Amino acid sequence: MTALLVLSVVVSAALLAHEVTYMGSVLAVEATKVQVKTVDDKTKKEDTVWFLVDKNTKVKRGDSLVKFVDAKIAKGERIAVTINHDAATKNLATEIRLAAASK
Amino acid sequence: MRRVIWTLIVLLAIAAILVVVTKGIGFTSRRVPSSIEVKMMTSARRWAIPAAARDKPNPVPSTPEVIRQGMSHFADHCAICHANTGSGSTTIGQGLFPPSPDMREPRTQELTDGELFYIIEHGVPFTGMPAWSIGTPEGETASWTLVRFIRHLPQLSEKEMTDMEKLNPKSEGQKEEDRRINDFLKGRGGS
Repeated sequence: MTALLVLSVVVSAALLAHEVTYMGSVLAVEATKVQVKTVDDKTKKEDTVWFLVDKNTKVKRGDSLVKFVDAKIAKGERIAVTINHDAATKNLATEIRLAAASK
Repeated sequence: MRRVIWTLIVLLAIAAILVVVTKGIGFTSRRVPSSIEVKMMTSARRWAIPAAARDKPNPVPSTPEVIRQGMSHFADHCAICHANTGSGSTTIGQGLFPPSPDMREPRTQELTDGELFYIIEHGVPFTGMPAWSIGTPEGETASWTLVRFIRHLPQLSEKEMTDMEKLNPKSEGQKEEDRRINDFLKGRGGS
């Protein structure tokens, strides 16, 4: 099941040239970073990436904006992380999107 | 004759400084302005805004309805550079020179209402801030309303930020991208 959740890194056609959205499943969550397992759509190569989170990272659980600590990100859940390749800090998430919390 | 020579010397000196500056640090907007540059430009801006404009009181009252209107206007026109939160943390905002400031910080919040209004209406030359004046009383009211919202930025709630997300303009491509990501998160996409 977890394997099925390990999905695509799609170097999404970002709205602006240097923004890239990675999609995959959560491997680990720490206070200021989240580890995501991704698979490149083209090469099918799996990768594990740590994304950093700072005070300006927008975190959306469904349609609601929440704080990173309040997002209650669970291991194995699907996640989409957008980063800006031009940012001074490597792999700093500008936005994290998660499915709406189940009721 | 002497005056002409001195003018030429000054012009040559300015040209030499420009060459050194542009060649030395590169012709790029992708750098952080030095503290001297920031100090010089903020002082120049303060000096350039007429005293009468600086001291103008905001004729628009601070009410929840006004804040709501300002929020809607900000999300639609300003957030692409300034971000919904006013942090300036957007791709465009951080690519400008100087980068969009964090408007929640004292550097913006300590400006008078009149200064904020003047900057919105007239823009800031040599930066990414355009002049938004349309020369009508309605336009001025909209700018004063934005000033009220800028004052509210440090207290912006998560609910308001979520509401603003829905008010941000999006291209068809962005909407499609959103749909694709939402499908993935709901378990409909991927391999």
